[in-house]
Amino acid sequence: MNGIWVFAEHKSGSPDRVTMELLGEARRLARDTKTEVSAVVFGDSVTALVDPLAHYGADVVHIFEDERLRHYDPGLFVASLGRLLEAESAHVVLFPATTTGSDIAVRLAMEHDWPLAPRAMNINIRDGAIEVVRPIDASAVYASVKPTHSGPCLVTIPADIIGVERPDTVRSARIVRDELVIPAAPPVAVGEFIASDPRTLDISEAEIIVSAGRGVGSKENMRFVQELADVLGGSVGGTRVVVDLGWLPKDRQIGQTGKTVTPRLYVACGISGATQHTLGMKDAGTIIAINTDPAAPIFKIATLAVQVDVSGFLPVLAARCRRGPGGNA
Amino acid sequence: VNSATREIFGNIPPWQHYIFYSLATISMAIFAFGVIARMRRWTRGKITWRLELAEIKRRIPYFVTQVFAQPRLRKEPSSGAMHLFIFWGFLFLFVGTNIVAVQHYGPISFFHGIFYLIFKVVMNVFGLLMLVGVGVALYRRYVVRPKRIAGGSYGLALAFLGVLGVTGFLLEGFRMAARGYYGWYDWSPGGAVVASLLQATGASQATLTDWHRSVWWFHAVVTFTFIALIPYTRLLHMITAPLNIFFVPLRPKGALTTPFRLEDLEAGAATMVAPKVAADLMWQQLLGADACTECGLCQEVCPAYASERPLSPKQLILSLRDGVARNGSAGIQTQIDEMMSPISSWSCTNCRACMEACPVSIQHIDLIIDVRRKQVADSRLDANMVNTLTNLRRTGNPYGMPAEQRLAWTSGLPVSVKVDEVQTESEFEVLYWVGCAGAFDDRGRRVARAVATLLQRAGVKFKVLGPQERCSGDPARRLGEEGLFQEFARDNIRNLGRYGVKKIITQCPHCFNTLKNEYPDFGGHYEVLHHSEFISGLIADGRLKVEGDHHLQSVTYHDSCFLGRHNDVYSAPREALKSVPGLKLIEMPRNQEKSFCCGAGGANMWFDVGVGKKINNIRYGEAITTGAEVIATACPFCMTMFDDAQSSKGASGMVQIRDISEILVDGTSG
Repeated sequence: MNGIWVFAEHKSGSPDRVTMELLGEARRLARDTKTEVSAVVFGDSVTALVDPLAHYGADVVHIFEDERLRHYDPGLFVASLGRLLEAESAHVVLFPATTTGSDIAVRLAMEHDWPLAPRAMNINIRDGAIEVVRPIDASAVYASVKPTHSGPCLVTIPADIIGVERPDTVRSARIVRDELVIPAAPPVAVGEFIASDPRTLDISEAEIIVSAGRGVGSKENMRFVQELADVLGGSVGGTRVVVDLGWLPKDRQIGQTGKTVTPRLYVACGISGATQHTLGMKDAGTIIAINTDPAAPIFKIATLAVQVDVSGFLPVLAARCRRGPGGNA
Repeated sequence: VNSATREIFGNIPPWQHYIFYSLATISMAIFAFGVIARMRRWTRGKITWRLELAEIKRRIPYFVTQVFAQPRLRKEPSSGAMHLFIFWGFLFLFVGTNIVAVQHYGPISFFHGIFYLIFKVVMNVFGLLMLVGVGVALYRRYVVRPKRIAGGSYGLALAFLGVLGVTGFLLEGFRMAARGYYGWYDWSPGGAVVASLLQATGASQATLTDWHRSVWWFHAVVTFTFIALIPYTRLLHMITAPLNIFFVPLRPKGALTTPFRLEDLEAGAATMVAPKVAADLMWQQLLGADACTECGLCQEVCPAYASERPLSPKQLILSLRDGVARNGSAGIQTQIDEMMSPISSWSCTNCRACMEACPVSIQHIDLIIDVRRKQVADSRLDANMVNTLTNLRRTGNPYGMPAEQRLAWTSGLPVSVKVDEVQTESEFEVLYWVGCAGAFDDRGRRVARAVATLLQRAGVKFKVLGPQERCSGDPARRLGEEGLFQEFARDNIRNLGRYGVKKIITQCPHCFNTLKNEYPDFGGHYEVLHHSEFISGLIADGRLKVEGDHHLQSVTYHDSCFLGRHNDVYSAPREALKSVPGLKLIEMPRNQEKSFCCGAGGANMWFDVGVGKKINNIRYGEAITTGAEVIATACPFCMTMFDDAQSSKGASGMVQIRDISEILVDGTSG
C-alpha cells in the first residue's frame, strides 16, 4: 500500500481552503505511517498549483491538464483517477466532502468496489489498519468504521473540521503529468455548464463580494448593495452587526464568528473595519473600502479607499459599472 | 420548678415499646438502604479525593457558613427566611428528640428542672418556626408559583413536615390536658394552647389519655415514614447538600479542572483526555447532581437562559441526575453529552453567576467544560471553533495574526517600550502582559497604549514579551482543548521563567485569571494583577497624579465576570474611576457579584452559538438606562460586545465605551 493521497479542488489558481486542510491531515497521516503525500489535481491550467500544494503538504503532485477538464466531468475524472490510484496502489485517498469530491469518491467506490467512508470526522492509521470515525443517524451517533477489503480506502472529509496548517514555503514537490483516460462508455454525458447564481452561492465560494456594514444606514439601503453585487456578478456579505440587525441572514456573515472569505474583489460598504470583521476578509485580493469616516481602520487594509457616503455613492457606482469600461453603453 | 419533667414513654404500655422499636428499626433500615444505594452510585465516578480530605480544616469555615447561615438563599428574603425557618426548626426538633433518647438510655438524669423548662421553650419556639416555614413554602409553591421552582416535587416533604409539627404540638397538648395543669406548662406555650382548647371541650381524663396514645402513635409512625422517605424523595438534599458543600473544590474559583497532564500523555501513559460516560466524571460531580434542590436560583441569573439560548443550569444538572439514575448500569454508562447536550454547553458563557447563586455549591462550569472536552475529543466543533483553535496552533493567538505584529500597538507611544532579549529582574518592576486583544485587535491596541502611557507617567519600569508572548491558552481551555492549553501554559511559563518574572499586570481579565489561577498548577507562580488593581495602587501611592477630566460627567462600570465573580476584584476598578475628580459613578442595578455577563466569556468571543437573543444587547440596554455618558469596561471582550451592541442599536447620541485605563489617561498628565 502506497501513501496518502489527496484529491485537490481549486479555484482561480489556488487550492480551496478544504484542500489545504486535507493536505495538513494527509501530512499527519503520512508522518504516522512514514509514507508520502500525493496530491492529484485536474483542470485546464493547473501547473501554478504545484507550489501551493507543496507548501501545504504534498510531496508529489499528479497533474491532469486538459481543456476538457475545465469543469467536472464524472466520466473523465473517475476513469483517470481510478487508473492512477490503482496503478500506484494508493493506501488512503482523501476527498473534500464537497459536491464534486463526494460525487467522484462514490463513483470510484462503486466502480472498483473500494472501501468508502463518507464525511469522516477523524482518521487514524495504526500498524497499517485504517479507522475512520463518521456520523450516522443525523449525527446523533458516531460510528467507527474499518475497511474490510483491499483497495484504496476512500474518505471524504467536510470543510472546517481540521483547520488549515501554516504553509511551509520552502517545501517543493515532484510533478508527475498523467495521461487522461477517456472512458469507452461514460456513465453520464455532460451537456452544458450553467453558472451559479451569486445570490445563493455560499459566500466563502464567491469570487466577488459586495459587503455591507452599519454605515449602509438602513435595511432599505441594502438594495444598493445588492444592486452593485448584481452588476458585478458578485455575492452580498456583511458584518456581524448587519446580521444582528436582521438586514442579512446569518450565513452571509463575514468575520471572526462568521465565514472566512478570500474573494478576488471585496467591496466594503460602510464597514469601519473592526478586527472581528477584518479577520474574515483580510486575505481578499483587491479591497475597495467605502466609508465616511477617514479614521476607519478598514482604510488601512484597503487597496482603494473612497471617503464618501455609501447610499449616495453605490447607485452611481452601479450605474457606471453597468455602462462598462470607457463609459459607453 | 425543680419538679418539672415528663415521663418518657409515659402512657405507652411496655409491650407497645416493642412495636415502636420494630418500626424504628425498619425505618432506619429503609433509610440506610437508600443512602447506601446513592453512595454506591456516586462512587462509580472517579475517586481521587483522599488527599483533599486531609484538608478538612480548610473546608470547615465555608461549610459552616453555607450550611448554617445559608447566605445564598437569603439573597431572596422570602424564600431565604422560609428555608432557614424549616432548617433551623427541623434541626432543633431533631436534636431535641435525640436529647430525649440520651436521657432515656444514658447514665445520668438531666431531663428535669430548669434544663427541662428551657428545653420546652426552645422546642416550642423552633417547632413554631418550622410550621411557619412550611406554611410559607406551601404558599410559594402552590399560590405564588415562581417560575424558577417549577417542576420540583416537594409536596410530600412539606406535608410530612407540616403533619410532624402539628402532631408534635397536639401530642404535648393532649399530655398536658390529660395530666391536669402544672405551673411549668407556661413554658410550653404551643402545648398549653392546645391543652386549654381540649379542656374546654370537657372531655374526660380517660378519653384524653386514650387520645394521647393514638396521637403519640400517629406521630411516631409519621416520623418513621419520614425518615424512611428521605433518600427516595427531594428530602435527600438534607444529606447531599451538606456533603456537596463540604466537598467543594479547593482550587481557586477561576480555575478549571485539569483532566490530564500533557507530559503523561506525551510519555505514552494511558490517559483519558475527556470524560465520555457518567462513570468518567468525578464522584463529586455525581454527588452534585443529587444535591440539586431544583430551587432554580441558577436559572434566574443565567445570561444564556435570559437570552433564550437552550441552556438552563438547573435543567442541565437535572438531566444529568435523571440520566445517571436510569435503571441498572445503563445510567452510569450514558454518554455525558447525551444527558447534557453539546448546544447547551456551548450556550454557556462561563460567567459563574449560577455557581455564585447555587445554595448547595454545584459546580456547573466544570460539567459544561467536560461536555466541551468530549466534543473536542470527538471532533464535533463548528467552523469558527476549529478556525480559532487552528489560529492558536499556527500563530499562537486566536486572531491568526503573525506573531511579529505583537508590538504594533507601541507605535505612537511617547517613550519606546523595551523588549530587550535579556533583562534581569532588577531592570523591570513588572511585566506587562499585553494579551492577544491588546496586541492584535485595533480597539485593544488603543487600550494597550493607554495602559502603557499610565505606567510611563507613573515612572513604572516595565517589560513586555513582544513576539515571545503567546496566548495564555484561555480560549483553548474554555473551548475544551485542554492539551493545547497546557502547551501554551508550558511555553509561557518557560518564557516568563527565563526573565525571572515575579509580578505581572494584564490588560485582559481572561489572561489575568489564567495566569493567576491556572498557571500555578503547571509550575507558574507569579503575583498577577489586573491593570485596574495596579493602577489604583499607583494612584493610592501617589505615583500617578489624577487631576480630573473636564469632558467627563457620568460613568457606569461594567464588571467583567472573570475579574468579578471569578476573582472578586470589584473595588479596584471603582476606586480607580472614583479618583478622577468630578467623575460621577452610576451603578447598574445588577453590579458586582450580581453583574450580568456581556456574552463573550467561555470562548463565546470566538464562536456564535446561533440561537437566542444577543446577550450583549441586554447588558448594553442596562448600561444606557443608567443615563451615564460613558460605559467603562475592564476587558477587551466586554468592550467588543458593547461596541457591537451599540452599533446594532445605531442610536444617535451614542455613549462612549472606554476602558478604565483610557479614562485615566485623560485624567492624568505626562
